Amino acid sequence: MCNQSGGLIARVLEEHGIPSVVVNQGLQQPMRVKPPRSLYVKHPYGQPFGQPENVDQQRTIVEDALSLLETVTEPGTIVHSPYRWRREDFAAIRRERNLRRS
Amino acid sequence: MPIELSDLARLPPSIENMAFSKIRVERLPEEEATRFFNGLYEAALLSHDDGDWSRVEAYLSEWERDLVSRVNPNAISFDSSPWTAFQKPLSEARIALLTTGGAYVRDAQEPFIDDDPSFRVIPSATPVSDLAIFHEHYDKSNAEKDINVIFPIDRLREMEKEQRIGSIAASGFGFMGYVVGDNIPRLIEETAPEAARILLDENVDAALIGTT
Repeated sequence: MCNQSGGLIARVLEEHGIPSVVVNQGLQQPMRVKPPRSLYVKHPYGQPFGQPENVDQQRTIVEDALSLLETVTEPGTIVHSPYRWRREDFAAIRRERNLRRS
Repeated sequence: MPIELSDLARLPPSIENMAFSKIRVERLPEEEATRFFNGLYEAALLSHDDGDWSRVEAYLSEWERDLVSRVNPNAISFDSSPWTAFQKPLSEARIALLTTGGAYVRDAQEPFIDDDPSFRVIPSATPVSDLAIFHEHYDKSNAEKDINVIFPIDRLREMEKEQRIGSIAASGFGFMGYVVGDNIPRLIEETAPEAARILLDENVDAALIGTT
């Protein structure tokens, strides 16, 4: 029900004039509830931003989620995160991003 | 002889109640059962290839959630999405952080109860060591090790310092997402609008919501 509640809260915020982005671990709930912007991560429930103490992973997902505020133009968009929950080198992913940014 | 679905999906009684046993493929229309088995096969091949078997777990978990929610009267559907345009560059925006993971400030606030549409305001300067969790419907072990997995306030603080976001809203929000029955309209009509009003008062530009 949590992924549903998060989507419902997003809808309410949006109706009050606050743009929102939701990070979901399930696909069915955002497909049903249709929050305006969702990032779907293939994580087990209870860890939308990744693994404990994995700063690079958490940061990558936070950045990806926030970036949807700037990139999504179609209400109800669900973006699939390309990253796996484990066995992904998030330190390298961030290094590469920082290079591209500079 | 045609294959019967009931033959494909039969579980020995000893594992009848384990995780993913609620998928009950034998009750599905044939076309959907085919989609289930093909997807499972594909996930298994990909997982064997890259060694990441959490994909199979996520796949089964997804199906189970979906099939359970279909017979769940609490499942809500909408045909369209509301929309407010995001107006500023992120580097100037004030961002509010929300979680449905049941976070609250230890000792200072009442814990949630099960099926509870209320929220707790988590002041943005609260150290993560002061946060606690009440939630009975997800595996909290990782969130208890590091609450940033559900409420990544430390990551937002870094981004604020690096000027990747403008600022963090004074109020963060802990909701406890297991909300069912009559509490669903209370969430939609009472508590979530109250949270929205607080965020509007704080001139928040956008909200990041982590679900659990």
